[in-house]
Amino acid sequence: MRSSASLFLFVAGALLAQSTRHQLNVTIPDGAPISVVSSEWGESRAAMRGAALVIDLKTSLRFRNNSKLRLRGVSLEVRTQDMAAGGKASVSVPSLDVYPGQDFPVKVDLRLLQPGAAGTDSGKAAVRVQLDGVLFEDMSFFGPNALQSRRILTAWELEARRDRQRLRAILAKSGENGLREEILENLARQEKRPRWDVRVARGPAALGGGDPVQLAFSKQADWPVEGIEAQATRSGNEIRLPEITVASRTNRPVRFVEYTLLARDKRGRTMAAGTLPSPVALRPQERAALRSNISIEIARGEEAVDVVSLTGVLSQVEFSNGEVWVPSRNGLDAIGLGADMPPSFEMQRLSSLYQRKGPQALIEELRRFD
Amino acid sequence: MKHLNEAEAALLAGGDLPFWTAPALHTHARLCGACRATVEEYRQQREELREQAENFRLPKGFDWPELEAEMAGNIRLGAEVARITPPPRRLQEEWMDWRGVVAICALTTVVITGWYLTGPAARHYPRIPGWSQARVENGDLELSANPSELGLKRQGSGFYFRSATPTATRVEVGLEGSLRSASFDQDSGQLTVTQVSLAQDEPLLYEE
Repeated sequence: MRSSASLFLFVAGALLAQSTRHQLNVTIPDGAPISVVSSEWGESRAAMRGAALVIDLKTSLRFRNNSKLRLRGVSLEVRTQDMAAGGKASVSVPSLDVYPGQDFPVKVDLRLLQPGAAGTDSGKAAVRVQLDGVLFEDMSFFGPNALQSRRILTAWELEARRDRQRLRAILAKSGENGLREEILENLARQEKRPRWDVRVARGPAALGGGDPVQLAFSKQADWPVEGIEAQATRSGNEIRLPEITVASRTNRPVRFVEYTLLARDKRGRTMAAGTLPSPVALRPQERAALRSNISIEIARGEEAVDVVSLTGVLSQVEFSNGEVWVPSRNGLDAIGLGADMPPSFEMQRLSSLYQRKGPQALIEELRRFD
Repeated sequence: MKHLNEAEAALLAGGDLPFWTAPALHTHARLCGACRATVEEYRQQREELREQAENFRLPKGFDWPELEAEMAGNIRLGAEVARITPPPRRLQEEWMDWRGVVAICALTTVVITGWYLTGPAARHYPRIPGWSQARVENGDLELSANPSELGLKRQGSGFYFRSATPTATRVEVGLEGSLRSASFDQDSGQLTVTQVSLAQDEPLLYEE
């Protein structure tokens, strides 16, 4: 017992001594319109949990907008020396309004697990943060774009503009009361949304029997891509999506589509089971088939959710010239699924702002982005 | 070894045991089914409590302007009262009365004892049915998201983003093999989106 206590004291001492030796390396490409103002670890902590060493790291990176444009979003790739192979990680901050010359923070709060205390580098973390892209008010983009940040940031910005525009229109038409009603309805919808657990796993690509599950696509005449057909089957709690066929309804080549998949259970409750983002080489007015080898399980705690139908709603398209399309609010309302679709990040941000600071703060925020 | 008492189980569930006792109790909990179940129950209740606190929402119809007007009115009233009220006696004079000190001590003792005996023990928090979590599995690589963190794990190595708030505002599952989580910084209101995904050579969705 005495020797094990000594060992723990030694390990604790070693961890304490090493806690200040974590490395943080922030890389910004040459010619980037932003620069690093500060990048240091704040509070960090290391502790043994069972057989694993857990390192908690906190930092608030500070960047400066050196361009002549207002900055709308930034995306950073984050890597560690022990990062699980086969995976990637990123931190993005959308809905920014950073003026030229202004600084802005990006918080990175990490927990790293290292197996055992063996190895010379145990308890020491080296984290590398690399700029993947920045988006400006005129929708211009800078960055290596290794994580598709251009498309992602652009889509979020378009959704944000769409939803701010809607709220501004409500404010102009119905005043502060109308705005309050809209936000409270949005919050109530979020609150009512069922909370399900989703598990996605690699499954057999070929159809292996099972019961067919109805999968329909929502369509609007002015949407650039249309879902034509899809096969989904269910075996036990597992739903498989072996193939989806999409057709172009535009004269522009498409290189990426994303569907949001809404699942409905026996009791009529609907929830977004996930998104189906896929790169695709879709020529004008032609079709393409997307195959998947995934199986999805949806549960509510220990209890499996009995999914009876799935609906695919087109949520994003990227054309070959890099332009991005997202559905309009009217389009979503027209298909009758606007309430079932997850709200945009911006809508959630604005709702949160209303909850914390009240309607005047929300109105000022809407004016700020005018 | 004797079973864990309730306090030890609760501290173990929260990772708050002193480092010199943690390994022995941890080992016991791992080997003893009853203690493991108790610790797990505390752990779940801890998560539920955290989520319950996070999910608190103002009631529908909550009227900000009315509240603002009421608060402004109270402040004005307070200012008016302060103007017409003579300055209070010095605290020193209050504390000179030993009977007051005894009364306050007795009252404090009663309140603390009452809270200790009937206060909100962890076991009495109501359960919240189901909370959103997501997992993507590809061989031995696992991406996972729960209300407080999002990350990936393979063969004992793990990498997790922790949410800026006690629970993430939203978790999204990309069926091509990605997880995304959004949270708001309560101070600045800044939205931060973290994402983990399978590397491009291991996609779950592809064009034929």
